[in-house]
Amino acid sequence: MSATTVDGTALLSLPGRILRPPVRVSILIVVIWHVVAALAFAWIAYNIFGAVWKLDSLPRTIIGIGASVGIVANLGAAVLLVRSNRRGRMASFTVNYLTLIFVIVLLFQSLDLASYLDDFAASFNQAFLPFIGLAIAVAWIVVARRLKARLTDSARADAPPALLTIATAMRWIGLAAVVLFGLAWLWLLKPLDLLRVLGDAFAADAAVNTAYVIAIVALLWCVITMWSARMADRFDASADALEAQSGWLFLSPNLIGFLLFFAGPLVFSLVISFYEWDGITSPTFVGFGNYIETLGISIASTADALPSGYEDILTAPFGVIGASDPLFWRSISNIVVFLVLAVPLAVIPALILAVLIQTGYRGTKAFRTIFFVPAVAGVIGVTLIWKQMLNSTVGFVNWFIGWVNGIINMFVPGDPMPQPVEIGWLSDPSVALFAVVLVFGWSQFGFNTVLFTAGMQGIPKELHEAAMLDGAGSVRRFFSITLPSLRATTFFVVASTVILALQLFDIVYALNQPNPVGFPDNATLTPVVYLYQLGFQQDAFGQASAVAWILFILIFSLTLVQFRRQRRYAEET
Amino acid sequence: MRKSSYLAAGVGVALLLSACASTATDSSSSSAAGSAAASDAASTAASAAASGASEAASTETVDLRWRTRPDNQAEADLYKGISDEITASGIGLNLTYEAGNSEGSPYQDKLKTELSAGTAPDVFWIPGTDVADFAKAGLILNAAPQAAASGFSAADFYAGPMDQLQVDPATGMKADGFVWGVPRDVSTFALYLNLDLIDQAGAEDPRELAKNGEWTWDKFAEVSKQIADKVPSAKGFGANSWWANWGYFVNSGGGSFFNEDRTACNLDSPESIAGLEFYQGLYASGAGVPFGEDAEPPFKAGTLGMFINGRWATPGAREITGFNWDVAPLPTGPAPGKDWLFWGAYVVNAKTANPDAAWKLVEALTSTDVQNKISSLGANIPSRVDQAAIDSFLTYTPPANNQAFVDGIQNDPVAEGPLWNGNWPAFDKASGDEVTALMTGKITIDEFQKTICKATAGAFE
Repeated sequence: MSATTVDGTALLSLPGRILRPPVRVSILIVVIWHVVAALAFAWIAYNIFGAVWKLDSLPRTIIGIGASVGIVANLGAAVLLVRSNRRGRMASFTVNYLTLIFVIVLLFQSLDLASYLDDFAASFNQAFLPFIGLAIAVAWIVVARRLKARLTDSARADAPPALLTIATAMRWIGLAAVVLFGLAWLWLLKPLDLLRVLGDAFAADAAVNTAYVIAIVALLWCVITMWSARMADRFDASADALEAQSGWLFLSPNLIGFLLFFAGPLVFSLVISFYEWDGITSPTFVGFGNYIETLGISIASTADALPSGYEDILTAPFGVIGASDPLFWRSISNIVVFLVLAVPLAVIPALILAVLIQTGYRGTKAFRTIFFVPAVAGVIGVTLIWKQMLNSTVGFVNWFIGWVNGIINMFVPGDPMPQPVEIGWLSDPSVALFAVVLVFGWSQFGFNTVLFTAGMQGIPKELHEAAMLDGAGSVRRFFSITLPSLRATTFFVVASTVILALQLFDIVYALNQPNPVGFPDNATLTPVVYLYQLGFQQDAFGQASAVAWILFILIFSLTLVQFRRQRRYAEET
Repeated sequence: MRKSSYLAAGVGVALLLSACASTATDSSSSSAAGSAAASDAASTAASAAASGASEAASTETVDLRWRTRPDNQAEADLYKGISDEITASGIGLNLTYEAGNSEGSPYQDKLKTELSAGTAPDVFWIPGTDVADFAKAGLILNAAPQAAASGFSAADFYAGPMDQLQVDPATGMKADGFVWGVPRDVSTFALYLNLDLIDQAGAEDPRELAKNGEWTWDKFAEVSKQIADKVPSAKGFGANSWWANWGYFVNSGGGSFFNEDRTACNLDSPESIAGLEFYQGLYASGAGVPFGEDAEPPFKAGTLGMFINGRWATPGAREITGFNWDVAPLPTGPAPGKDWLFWGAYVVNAKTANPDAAWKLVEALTSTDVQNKISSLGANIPSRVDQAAIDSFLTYTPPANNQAFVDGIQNDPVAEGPLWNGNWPAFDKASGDEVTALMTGKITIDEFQKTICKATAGAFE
């Protein structure tokens, strides 16, 4: 048996003869199981495509495709097993493993176990003190055991017997505490109630739940059987293949989680972008309708000549440009302006600060920590403070500008600077986006400073020392040594800041309260804010998903360009 | 070390058990909701009456989840207490209360997500403007059979909200056989006054002017200007930008958002335009906190004379210690009264497994006793037309002049209403954008008049 293979059948040694029949019989049973599973999937597909089950088009499509895949996969695995194909074992294992997880999820759903997980946090409140006591008691026992082990160590043969007695007593006290707190815990948690509730949930749909349990047992047996060393030998699995299989198995919980909770919703949003859907009622397939509606552009000589449903968004020398969704284009123009302003604001000051920090003056470590605070502070909380500071009448920012103006007016005749200052940072469409830029730049530059600082630590000191010997000043060294050496770091900082900027939502959301998001006059409407508006305020989840995918393509394209330029530069140098 | 590992494993298993076991005591409500999700909304409504008899005959306690949006922690605590009291009262309900909103998860977003997933509570609160959308989408139960069985009287509640809760979605008109919910509470706008600033400016007291019937738009503009001109760094008035603020001046000018049967926009009528023109002029005078700026911070900072806001702002105002404050009615325009009557309603989830019990909970939550308890905190006004409830409300001071809110309710208010023949969020978005463009000087009032109903037409398609 390979060292990387787990002989699952060893776990089932007790009823061994039943659970561990000869290899040929085992394979036959698994093949039969695959046929049964394929028939089950075929039955589902028949009910779906034969419209026996009345489902909306979207779930019908998803379940139908899933059932079809199930048929093909099970039959394929069965055929490979019958032919003793080397891939048969892994095909069977994979299909059954995934089906097992699927059936467990179905049982989970049928018993409504998610509602128990919902209350997971509440359980900590209910039995918090006994739990803490139990944890401390366990730690106590561990400490007592280690103490006793040290005292009985041969090197410490002269340890006083009293200490040994104390160590033993500590251990017993710990065990007593474990029993005490454990009982208190169980008393508070009422495990019999758990069993009762689970029993009730099971009995509510006993036939279906029993079928799930039978399927789980059968699948589990098939999975363990196919994973066993004897099957690996039977199918001539190489050591590399076994190692890779073990790797995949260990990776599978994470991979399945990723597929279910990240890739799944991602694909779902792609699918839903081809539907008109309010999130509640049945979705309607509209093909590329949402994309056309979002991106639709038309050019005409005058605004009146634009097709119906198009609004003019730009007057160019060659005519008027109209859009079927002007708000989307407004969000794009906003985000472009935002990028142009916010990215330099988040990057350049960070670079300058990193250089200053690198000088090693007293207190630089403290400043480095302080600069990092915005990166770890809660965005919503911080933005709410900024919102107060940016208030046009009682905010600190206008007060400060007014104070500076006052000083200037003291020295310049004619009082040229206005007072009081009432810049509508959050209410004037011409400046509202700058307020967002300011808050974004402030929230990002600290983290970028730390990145630049880390990058600078990788620059060999010898380079600077040699340049100094050659008479290069600090400015020359910055532009000739520091900046070129930081190219990779700068690329990362700019790329990540651009991606964050394109995904801008939370700052706008918090700054706009109590006004609608995108206020004023859509001046702060970004693509993500717009898709939020579409989805959650106008119940247009299909179009919101289309906007999300357009944004994804935009971000992906920009990042790809940045990566290629960086790679080309690296190759050249 | 192995024993320690066993111990650690034991603790882990016990932890897992605790997670599950603790839910055993209160999970049946969740289970009920979960199984409820499987039932079809329409069939639930249809079978409501039939199931009523069997439920009534049963003496078993029914587990229900319910949710409302509290305005502050004190209110959340009170709702939780009320929930526990109803459970303990022995009417056969075992309740789980959920506040339903958090900093990162707005109430409406979370509720819609749960409705979509089929995991929403049995009973929940929604704003009045959402009732039509929820009813048309089949998300809430038409509780008319339950209401009839329990002897519910719609006349016990203010007519404005109740009329909107008895609409036939097919016609968009009030009709027998429809009860979509019961208003939780009502509120109106009032002017929160900084009495010290008004005094400092030497302006007339709006409360006195209101008593004498002289509290008009022009007086409002005059007092605002006096405060802004005579007190350094102060502003005369402030309001937030959402629809009700400018909407009051539309209504008070004799106009309205919609035509008579609420099937089209009426914001371009001369009366509506007159109201908006006055409102625009107020901002143009420079006497106000700029349009779109949150007016609450300057009011609390003591630099704002008059602040338009609802009863929900009272708990926050009660924290003010730096100046004397009170409230006055909104200034009267060409059309007297016309304050807003804000409301939200408790509705029953269309997928609840226990429609009769859910209705029983709705009635319990809108009882006089419960409404009095909640309004004592200051943020709410009882939705029952009940002199005793009003008398109680008047005692919940400050503000001393609670009568201003009562006047708003009783003096021909305009009930905020859902759009049964349209899409309220779309109308809100389109009209809000146009009004913002008007108030920030991007378009003129004439341009506004020409474009507003075109811009909002999509909401009625």
